[in-house]
Parts: sequence; structure tokens; C-alpha cells
Amino acid sequence: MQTDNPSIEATVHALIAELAGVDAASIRNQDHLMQDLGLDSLQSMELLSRLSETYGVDPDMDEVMAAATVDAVISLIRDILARNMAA
Amino acid sequence: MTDWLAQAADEGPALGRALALSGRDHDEHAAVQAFLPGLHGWLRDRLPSARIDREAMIPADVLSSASSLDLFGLTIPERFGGLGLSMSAAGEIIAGVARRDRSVAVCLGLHAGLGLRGLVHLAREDQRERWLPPMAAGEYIGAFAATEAGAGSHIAGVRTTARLAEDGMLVLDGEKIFVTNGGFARVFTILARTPGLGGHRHGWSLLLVTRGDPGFSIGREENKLGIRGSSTTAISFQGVKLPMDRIIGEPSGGIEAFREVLGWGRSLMAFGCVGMARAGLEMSLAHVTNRQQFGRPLIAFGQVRESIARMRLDVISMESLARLAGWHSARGLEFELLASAAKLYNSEAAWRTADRTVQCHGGSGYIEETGAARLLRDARITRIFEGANEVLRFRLGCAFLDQVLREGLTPPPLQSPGLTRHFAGMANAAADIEKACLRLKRELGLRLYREQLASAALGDAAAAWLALWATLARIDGEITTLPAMDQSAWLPLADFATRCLLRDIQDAISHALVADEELLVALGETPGGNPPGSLSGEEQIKTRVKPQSDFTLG
Ligand SMILES: Cc1cc2nc3c(=O)[nH]c(=O)nc-3n(C[C@H](O)[C@H](O)[C@H](O)COP(=O)(O)OP(=O)(O)OC[C@H]3O[C@@H](n4cnc5c(N)ncnc54)[C@H](O)[C@@H]3O)c2cc1C
Repeated sequence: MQTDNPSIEATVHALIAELAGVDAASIRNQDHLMQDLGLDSLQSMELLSRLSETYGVDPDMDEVMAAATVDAVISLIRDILARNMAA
Repeated sequence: MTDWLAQAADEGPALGRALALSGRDHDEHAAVQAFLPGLHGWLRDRLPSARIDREAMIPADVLSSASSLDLFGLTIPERFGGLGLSMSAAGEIIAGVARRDRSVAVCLGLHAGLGLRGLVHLAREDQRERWLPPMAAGEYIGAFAATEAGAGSHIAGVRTTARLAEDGMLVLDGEKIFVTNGGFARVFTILARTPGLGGHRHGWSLLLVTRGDPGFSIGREENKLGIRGSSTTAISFQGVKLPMDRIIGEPSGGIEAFREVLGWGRSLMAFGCVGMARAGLEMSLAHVTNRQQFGRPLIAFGQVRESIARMRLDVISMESLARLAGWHSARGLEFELLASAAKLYNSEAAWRTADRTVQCHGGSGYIEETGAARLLRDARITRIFEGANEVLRFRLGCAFLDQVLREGLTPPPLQSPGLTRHFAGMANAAADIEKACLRLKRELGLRLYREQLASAALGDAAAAWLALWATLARIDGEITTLPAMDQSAWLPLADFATRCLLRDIQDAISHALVADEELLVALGETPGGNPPGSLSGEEQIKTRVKPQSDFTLG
């Protein structure tokens, strides 16, 4: 299970690059998953699904639906990992 | 309740009656019925179907006579010289053509659907005025190019790119493959990356490119398994300069626009599949009633009878499901999910029907001259293009699960007392699907979106349930509008539809609940997958034949 924060960002970028067919280096954290990167709602779910597998977390479906930008996805994973550490 | 179900429930008995029509309302139904005899005459007298297949091309006079019948203007608004038909009415006509010839149906269907939808629905008025009249007249035939060597099912992977130059023009470079109508189309709607346009760093846009644009070239015709007369080529762009008014719809709104366009394309294709299945049914019926074996006509044998009955059911359920998508589209309602379900269900049923047709003909079905073999070859592509069925099945399953969990699945009531049992069966199946969704959500959670088997099986359950709903609603509509003496033929069909489709739904649900992707992964890693001396998966990818790309100037 990975937990360090810089690698969360890199992992999120790499996965988005794969799903959206863009270069990882060109992804910015403020990018909107759909408008900027062309991911539709199912691909966004797949992204979160694969991240939850990588990090061994189980995000709430409503939180997942609300994550519309790259930043929001990174924060979601970070927050869940922090919650899990605290618990 | 899901949006589309809620709308249907509000409509009450009117939905069933609408599904009994070949158009958005009675007037359009009457117009289609008036159009069909001329179409059938043209198909009979002017369409050399076996020759089109043998010579792998549609003769120029077929295309020009199709124009005189307004077949290129089906979906274009009347003010631009078209017939302004709804999806269902245009679909009925495409189905009629597909019954006789799939190559011509694909040419017309592609023009009417993917080729025109962007221009008709998303373009600005000046773009419509410029391009639609010659397209309605068949002077300019339309094509649609999204697929590339590296971007098929994963369409966001397109590399063809248009960059904004200093002179304010877009400069387009790239290569598309498998473009239907590519050999003779004049107007191409293409999907390209447009980085920076519309304020989006990564953007995709729909662009209009024409055959005469400098730097645009066309590859040679592909040699295909089926629909051999339809034109399929690669196209390439080398520094093609386009003014900004060649963007269709919003700059960088391309992926969204692509999905909207695809909904139309898939729905028209679903109608084309109805025509194929009808051709199979008619050929088979003629054969099994005439051909005698064991001293009896083949139709006297239970298994043959069952095969014919399933074909009959398939034709009605396919048509009803395609009309259901058309009904939603005509009301401006969300119809993409129904279009995907119709494409998935109808293409599988078209293939099944073509296979049954060959089987009913025995050895003669395997011989080209009967036409059954051609039907089988033609039907095969429908499970691949406009979205491979595996991709559709998985995505439909995920989307359906979301909707069912959010809003439940309650079928709108039927009116006819004779359909009470059938309605109960459909409602029970809906409850089973709801339970399965809840269980899958509980047990798999987000895994449903990365592992495919459960979601894909759910996609099959969804398609079969939607087909059952559409079929029963349509039968309800037929029964409530027909005189009592004509109603009796529909009730056995309702019985058979309910029996067959409930079984399909249950099979799919069981499959979803026992899906074990890890087992399959393990199986893939056991020794014995590749016989000695054969290529490993990786080697196969390396040696894969590249699609041809030798271009001539278009
Ligand atoms: C005759 C013909 C006409 C065509 N006309 C047009 C046209 O006019 N315009 C246009 O843009 N394109 C057109 N196409 C392209 C067509 O839409 C694509 O071939 C189709 O979308 C599949 O893409 P692909 O061939 O790259 O297959 P791939 O994407 O490589 O897929 C191969 C197979 O892998 C499986 N698969 C792929 N992805 C997944 C997944 N995520 N999950 C599970 N299984 C998967 C499926 O079984 C699929 O059939 C045409 C193709 C043909 C053959």
C-alpha cells in the first residue's frame, strides 16, 4: 500500500494519462476531469476504482461522484488515507 | 424511478401506441407508409445486391437513384431540402433498405446518422445553410471519422490534431482509418485534438473537412468480410488548413458532441439490424415451409419451429427497442442509454438471426447463392462498429446499476387485461435486477468499475429487460388499437417474449453474481495457453499487421 503524498500525485497523473490518452507531464492539478481531460463519469469512476485498489481504501460513492478535478481526486485519496491513519 | 422510465410512466398508454407506429406520430407514420412502396420498388428493380457484394462497390447509378428518392435527406430538416424525419421514421426506412442490401443501408445510415447529426444538431445556422442542402440532394455524401490506428474503442486516444496558427487558421495533421463512405464522401465530420481551443488545454473538437481541402488524401478501399459494397478507407491530413468556422459545435466540446452524435448513429444502426433480422426471418420461413425432409416440411419439426419463433420475436423486440430510443429522442429526452442498449441487443440478435438463417437452410445456407451466407457476413460487423459490444455491455451495466441504485426500477403499467401475467413477470425481473445491483454494490463496490464481468453481465440483463419492456409496451399498444379479432395474434407473442426474455435476464443476473474475474486471470497464467512454437501475446502484438496507409490524393 502506498501512502506518501508526492507519489499520490504522480500515481493519479499516471492513471489519468492512461485513461484519457494524454501525456502525464501535461496534466495540471486544476484540470477538470471531464472538460479538460475528456473523462466521462464512468471513466472517472474507473479512475477512483483503480486508485482505491492501489491504496487499499474504500471511498464513499458520494465523495467519489463529487471529485470533479485532478486536485479533488488527489485530496480525496489523501484525506481517506489520513482518516485511516488516525483511526 | 429512472428519468426515462418516469417519462414513459407519465405518458401512460400513449407510449405503447407510439411504439406500434413507424414514426413519431400518426402523421409521420402515414408519411412513412406512403414512402415505403416506392422504396420497395426501387430496392427490387434498381439494387443488384449480389453484384454489389461480388464487385465490392455500390454502382454510381444506385447512389444517384437513391438521391432521387430523397434517401440522402432523411434526417435533414425540410427547410434545408430534406425530409425532416424523426429517428424512428428514418430508422424504418434504413431497416427497409437493410432488409434487401446491407452495403447500401450502411452507406445511407452512416450519412443520415454519424455523418449528419453534428451538422443538423450542433452546427450554427450559417454552417447548416452552407452544407445541408447539397447533402440532402445527395450531391455531397457524408462520412464520420473518429477511429485511428491507436484509438479504436478508447477514442480519447486520438492523435489527429488541429492547432491554431498565427493567421487564425486551424492546421490539421493526422490519419484516420476505417472511414465508411470514405471512397466517395465529400463532407467528413472528424474528431481531432484541439489543444488550447475554447480555453481547454486538452481539447477535442468535431471538425468539418472536405474532400477538396489541400493536404487531405484518401487511402485505398479495405477488403472486407461483409458489407463488401460499402466503402471503407483510411483518410489522412497533412497540414490541412481550416477556417475556424469548420468547428462543429463548441470548440473543445468534441467528446461530448461525439457521444451525442454516436447516440444517433447507434440508434439508426439498431434499426438497420431490424432489417437484417427481418430478411433472415423471411428467407428462413420461405425455406422451411417449402423444403421437405422425413416426409414433412421442415417447419413441422419442433426445433425448427422454435428457431423461427425466436426470429419472429427477435424482429419485434429489436424493432420495439429501437423505437423506444426513437420515442425518447423525439421528445428531447435522454436516450443515449437506450441507444446503447438497442445497439447491443439488436446487433447480437441480428447475428443470432443470421446464424439461424444459415442453419435453417442446411447445406444450401453455406452456399453464397442463397444469400444466407451473405447475410451472416454482413451481420458480423454490427457487433464491432459504433462501439464494440464488450465495451457497450460493460458501460451499459455500470450506467444501469447507477440509475437503478439511485432511482429504482419500476416498469410503467400496461393497460390490457390480457397482459397482467406478463407485467407481473417483468416487474419481478425488475425486482431481481434491483436486488442484484444492491448485492453487487455491497460485495464489489468500486471494483464494479474496473473489473468487467459482473458489470458486463448486468449490461446484458439491462438490455434484455429493456427489450422486454419495449416489446410488452408495444404489444399493449397494438392490442389497444386493434379490433378485437386482430388482437389474438399478439398474445402468444407476449407469452413467448416474456418466457424467452425472462430466461435471458435470469441467466445474465446469475452470471453477474457468480462472475469471478480473479479465476480468469489465474487461468490466463496457467501453462498450456500457447501451443509450442506459437507467438506469445507480446510477439503477436509486435507482428500485428498494420492497417494499410498508402494514400492517393483525394
Ligand atoms: C467496416 C467498418 C466500418 C467502420 N466505419 C467507421 C466509421 O465510419 N468511422 C469511424 O470512426 N470508425 C469506423 N469503424 C471503426 C470501428 O468503430 C472500430 O473498429 C471499433 O470501434 C473497434 O475499435 P478497434 O477496431 O480499434 O478495436 P479495439 O479497440 O482494438 O478492440 C478489439 C476488441 O477488443 C475488445 N475490447 C476493446 N476494448 C475493450 C474494453 N474496454 N473492454 C472489453 N473488451 C474490449 C472488443 O472485443 C473489441 O472488439 C469501422 C470499422 C469497420 C470494420
